[in-house]
Amino acid sequence: MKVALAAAAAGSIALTSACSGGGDDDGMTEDGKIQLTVSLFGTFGYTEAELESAYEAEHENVDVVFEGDGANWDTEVRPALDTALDTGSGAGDVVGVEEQAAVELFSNSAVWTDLSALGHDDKAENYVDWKWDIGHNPDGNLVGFGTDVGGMGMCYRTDLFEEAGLPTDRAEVAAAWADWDGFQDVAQTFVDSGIEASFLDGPTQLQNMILGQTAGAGDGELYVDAEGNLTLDSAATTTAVQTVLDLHEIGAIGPYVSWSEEWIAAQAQGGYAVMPCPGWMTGVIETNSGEENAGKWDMAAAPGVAGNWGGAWLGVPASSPHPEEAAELAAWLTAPEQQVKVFEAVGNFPSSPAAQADPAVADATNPYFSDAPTGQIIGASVQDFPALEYGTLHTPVKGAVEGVLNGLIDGTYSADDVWDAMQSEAENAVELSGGGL
Amino acid sequence: MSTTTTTESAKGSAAGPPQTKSGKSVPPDQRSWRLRLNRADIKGTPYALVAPYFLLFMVFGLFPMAYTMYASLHTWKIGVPGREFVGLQNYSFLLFEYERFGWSIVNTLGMFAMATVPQLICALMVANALNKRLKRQMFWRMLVLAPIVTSVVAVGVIFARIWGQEYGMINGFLELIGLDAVNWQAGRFSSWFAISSMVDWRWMGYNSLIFLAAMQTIPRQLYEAATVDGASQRQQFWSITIPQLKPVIIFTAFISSVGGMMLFVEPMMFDAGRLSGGSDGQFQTTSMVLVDILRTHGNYGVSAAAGWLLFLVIGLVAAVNFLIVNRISGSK
Repeated sequence: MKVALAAAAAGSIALTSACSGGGDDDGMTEDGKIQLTVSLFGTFGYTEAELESAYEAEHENVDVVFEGDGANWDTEVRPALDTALDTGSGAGDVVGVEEQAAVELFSNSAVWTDLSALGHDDKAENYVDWKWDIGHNPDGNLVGFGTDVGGMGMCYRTDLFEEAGLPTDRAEVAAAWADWDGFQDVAQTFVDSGIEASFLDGPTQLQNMILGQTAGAGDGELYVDAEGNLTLDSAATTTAVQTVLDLHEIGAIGPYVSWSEEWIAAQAQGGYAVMPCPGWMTGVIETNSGEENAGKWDMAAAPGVAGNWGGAWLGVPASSPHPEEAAELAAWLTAPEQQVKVFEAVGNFPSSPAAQADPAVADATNPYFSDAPTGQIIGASVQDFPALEYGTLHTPVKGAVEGVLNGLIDGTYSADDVWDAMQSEAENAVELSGGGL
Repeated sequence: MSTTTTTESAKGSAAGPPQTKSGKSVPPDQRSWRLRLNRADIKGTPYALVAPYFLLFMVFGLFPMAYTMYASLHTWKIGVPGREFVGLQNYSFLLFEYERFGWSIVNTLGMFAMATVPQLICALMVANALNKRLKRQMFWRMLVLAPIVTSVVAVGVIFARIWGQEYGMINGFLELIGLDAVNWQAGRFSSWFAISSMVDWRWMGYNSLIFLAAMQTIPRQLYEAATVDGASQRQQFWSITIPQLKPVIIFTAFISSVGGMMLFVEPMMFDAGRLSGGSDGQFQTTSMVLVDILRTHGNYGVSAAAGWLLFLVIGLVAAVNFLIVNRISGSK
C-alpha cells in the first residue's frame, strides 16, 4: 500500500514536471556550444541557401537552428510570437517579423534588444533607406535588420494573352498597362474575347497592391491611422476598392480566393491570366503550375508607380540569453553577400543596394517565366519606394476588407453593399483589436 | 478501482488483529498507532489512488476554467498594458453587437444537425452490417477506421478540392449531367452540406465501432428466441438491437453533440486555414469565432467570454439531446 501511494505520488510529480519542463533553458547545447534559435515563417531561404553550415563554419562555438520554415505568418507564427513576447519566454534568439506587423511589434521597446547598443548602428548602407527606418522604433532603438523586399511585377500567361488577341511581349504588355486605366482596357479586351478563363485571379491581391502604391505615392494613409481611427475614405483605400469594383463590373475578376485550393489549382489549369507578383511569388507560381506549364508564364512591369508587397525583418527578443551573438547572426544573415545567396536559392529580392546591384541579382532572369528579367523588373520597382507605416490595427482591418471583397465576388454582397459592409466589419475589427473592449 | 481497495483493506485488517491476539503484549500506544495507520490506510488509500486524476483536473481543467472566467470579466489584450474589470461587457458585446457570434451559433447548430443525425444512423447501419458473419471481417472493420487515422489537414485539403467551384469533383459531376455548378463556399446551406460530408466521413467509422462493440455484448439467445418466434431481421434490429444499445446510443449522441458544438478544424481547412469561415462567416463556427478573436485580434477578454458562452450552449444542447434520445430509445 505504501508502494501504491508512493507510486501515485511519483506519477503525479512526473506528470506535472513533464508539463512544466524546460524552465532552466540556458541556451547552451550539450557539448557547450551557444545555441541560437532562429524562428522564421514562409520561405526565408536560409535553409535552401545552406547558411546554417556556412555560419557554423565561421563560428565554431555556435549552433544555429532554423525553425518555422513554411509556417503561415498570420495564423501560426504571429499569435505564438505575440504570446512569447508578452510572457518573455520562448520567442527564440532571432525572429523573423513580417512587413505588415513590423511597426506594431517593434513599437514595444521593452521586448526587443537594442541592436545599436550592441554596435550595429553602422550598417545603414546595407539596406535601402525605408527598410532601415522601419527597423528603428519610435524610441529610436534599432530593433530589426531588413531581409528581403517584395518589389512588384505583374505575372501573366502568354498563352491566354495570345488567345485573347493581346500582345504577349513583356515590353508591349508593360506599355499597354502603364497605368491603371490601361490595365482596365487590357482587362476589357481580354473579357470581350470571350475565352474561358478569368483575367485576374481574385480581388484581394490587386487591392493590396494598389493600396500600397497609392499610399506610398500620396499621404501614406491606409485603412487605419496611427490613433486607431478608421480611414476607409483615404485616397489609397478608395482607389484600391473602386478599381476592384470597376474590374468586377466588367467581369474581369476570377473567383479564386488567394491561397485557396482552387487558386492553386487554377495556376496549373490556366484558370486566370494575370496576378500581382512580388519577387517571391515567382517561386509560388512555379511550384503550383508545375513543369508542364514552363514557359507559359511571363512577367512584365506592373501598372502605376513602384510598389512593394512583403519582405521581413529580423529582430532579437530581449528574452534571448545570448543577445550579442544573436545580433551578430541577424546582421550576418541580412548582410549583402547572404542576401545574394538567398536570392539565388529562392528568389527573395534583396533589400541591400549592394546586393541589388550585384550581377547575380540585377541580371537575373527566370527561365520558368520565359526568361523574364525578373531582377531588373523587381529591382526597378523598389528603388525609390517610400516606407509605408502599417499601423497596429492594419492586419485585422485588412482581414475585414478582404472578406467583404471576396464576398463581392462570390455574390454575398452586391456592389452597392460593399462600402457599408466594409465599414461595419472594419468597425468590429477595430473594436476587438483596438482601444474598445 | 473498488476491487483494489477492498483487497487492500482486507489484507490490512487481516494483518492487524492476529498480532494482538497472539498473547504477546503490545504497548497500547504502539497498538493505537498501528490502528490509526490501518484506519488511515483503509480510508485514505482510495483517495490517494484517485488523487492524480483530480490533481491534473484541477491544474488543467478547473484552474483554466476559473482563469477564463476571470479573463472574460476584464479587458485584456495582447500589447495593451493593464487589465480593467468591466463586468459583463464582453458578453454583451458578443450577444448584442457582434453579429458574427450569433450567426456562428446558428452555423454550429446547423452543421451539427446536418452532420450528426445521418452520421449516427449510418454508423448504426454499418455496425449492424459488420456484426453479421462476413468474409474478411477484420479487413472491413479496419476499413471503417481508416478515416480516423487520416490527418485532418489532408482531409480538409482533399475535401476543399472535391467541393471546389471551378475544379471540384462534385461540380464536375453536376455539369456532366447538365446542371449548373454550385459555389459551395458562398452559400450558407451549401457550405454546411460540404463540411458535414467531411465530418461524417471522418467520424462515422468511429461511432460504428462503438456500436459494433456494444452489439457484440447483446446475448445471442435474444436473437435465437426471436428467430424461433418468427421475427424478421428488421424486427429483430428494432426490437432487440436498438433497445439493448440504448446506453451506448446516449453516449455517442452526447459525445457527438459536444464534438459537433466544438467543430473547428474541418470548416477552417475548408477555407484554406482562414478563421473567418467564408466571405461573410457563412460557415464560421463558434470555436472559430473564439480563436479568431484570440488570434487575429489578440483579445483575451472577449475570447474568454465566447468560451463561456460556448460552454453554456454545449451544456444546453447536451441536455436537450439527452432528453430526446432518452425518450426515443425509451419508447421502443
